[in-house]
Amino acid sequence: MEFRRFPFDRQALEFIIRAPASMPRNTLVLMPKAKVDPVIYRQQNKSARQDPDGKDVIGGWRVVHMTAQERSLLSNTTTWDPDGFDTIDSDVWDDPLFNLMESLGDSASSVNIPYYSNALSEASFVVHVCRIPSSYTYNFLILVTLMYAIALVSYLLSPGDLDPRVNLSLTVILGVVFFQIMLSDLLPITGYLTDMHYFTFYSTLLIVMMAFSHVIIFAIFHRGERKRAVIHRVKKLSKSRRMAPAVLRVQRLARVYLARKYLHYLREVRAEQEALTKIEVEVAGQRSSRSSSSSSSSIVVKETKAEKQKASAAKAVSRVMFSGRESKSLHFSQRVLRLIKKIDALIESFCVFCLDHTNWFVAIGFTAGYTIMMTTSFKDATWHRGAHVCK
Amino acid sequence: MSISIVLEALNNLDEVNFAFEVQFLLVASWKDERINTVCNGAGAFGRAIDPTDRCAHYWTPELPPTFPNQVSMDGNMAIEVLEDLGLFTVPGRYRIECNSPEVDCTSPINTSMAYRMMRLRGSFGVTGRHSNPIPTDLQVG
Repeated sequence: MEFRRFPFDRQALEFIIRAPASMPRNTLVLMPKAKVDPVIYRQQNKSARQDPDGKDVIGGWRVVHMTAQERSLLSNTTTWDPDGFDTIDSDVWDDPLFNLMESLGDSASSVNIPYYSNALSEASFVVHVCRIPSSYTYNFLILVTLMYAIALVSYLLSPGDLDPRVNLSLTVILGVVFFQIMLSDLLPITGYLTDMHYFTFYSTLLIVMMAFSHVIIFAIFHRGERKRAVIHRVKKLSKSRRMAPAVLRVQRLARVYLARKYLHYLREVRAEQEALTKIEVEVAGQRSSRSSSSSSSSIVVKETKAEKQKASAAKAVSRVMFSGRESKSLHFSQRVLRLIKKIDALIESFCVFCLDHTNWFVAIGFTAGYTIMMTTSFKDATWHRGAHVCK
Repeated sequence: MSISIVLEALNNLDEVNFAFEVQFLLVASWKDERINTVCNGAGAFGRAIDPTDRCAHYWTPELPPTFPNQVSMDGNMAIEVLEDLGLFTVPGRYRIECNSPEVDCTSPINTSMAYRMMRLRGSFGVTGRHSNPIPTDLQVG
């Protein structure tokens, strides 16, 4: 039985009639024919039309048609391959029958050893049935969809209400898990997932993602709220009469502070440059006066020191001049930090201005995702073109 | 030998145990030149046939036949004969009456034929069961 397309599956129920072993195929050939009683079709058609007099041949299934075929049974009675037998305790050639057949060779069939070459006629009758999916459609698909709709309602709650939102999603997850358990009772254990299993699995996955999205939306909301509060306060203050002189005073103080800082750095740089020129002059003098190798190391130390001072001076100047902007000489870790700060600022602005949209976008995304999942999961469903309809 | 089956009912379909139960009418028909008398439901419903009756001596296939995939469901018998309608024969030109010259034996049937009908209810195991393990175990019986 094949359940991959459950609940839109079809089954082929085969039963076999085999000729007696005493009558080989050259003596008796079964010629099978099969038909379904027309009463069954009539009853089924009535049932499909919701006629109270109609009934399905068996609850949940409809007979489609029946086929029959004759075949020769070629099982272990006709295959003669002594090397194909796996034996542990004894050798294949210990078997007297095998030894006899080997000694007879091709004439074994003429001796008519039943084990050797007497194929039997076998008639195979197959009843093709299809499952009526309406019960599963209403009891599983539509109910799980409704539960999913309840989970989607959580997006209507305030983004700040994390507990009710997540609780709602988790309750729905439990509901879907209950359906999964019911489903496992209905079907045998298979090594593959049926369409219905995929459906419940993806439904659970989507609801779990929904719960995660609530947490993320809450985080966005929380962050955006802080920033919004600051913006709100600034707006409120901007309308105040005392605000303008206060802002002017703050601006002046800031300018004075920056100018002092700038001058301080300029002085430092000048002092460092002067020290540097002094060192350079000294080094030049020493080079000309002394040529001994013992003093060369101290000169190198002084040179590196001077270079370092030069670099730090340049850095200080750049910091003051560009007021903290990134320069080419920044270290990798510093660049990464700056990048993180930029992303953080972007997220913050996103949190402030796109919170409401995010909530709705996520809700719409989940609705679309569920619709796509639902329509594509069931490959043999009636809404697919070319799919069979169990009528 | 021809075997015809008319499906009358699908009684049960056990998906979990891979088995199903059907009720059907089985008609087995065959040709036999040795048949020269008319039998009309001989041996129906398990009734014994009089040994003097020729119908008791005609060859008949073993019915119900061997169903290799029959299984027992819910403790019931795997194959149950609901109704045995007995042996029917249609003798051809070699029928007994033709020995007499007064009888017109221009029958369109050359070779005699016989058929037996039986209404059966049987439960069968569905073949093609997937033995995929949980998830990848190998079982040795």
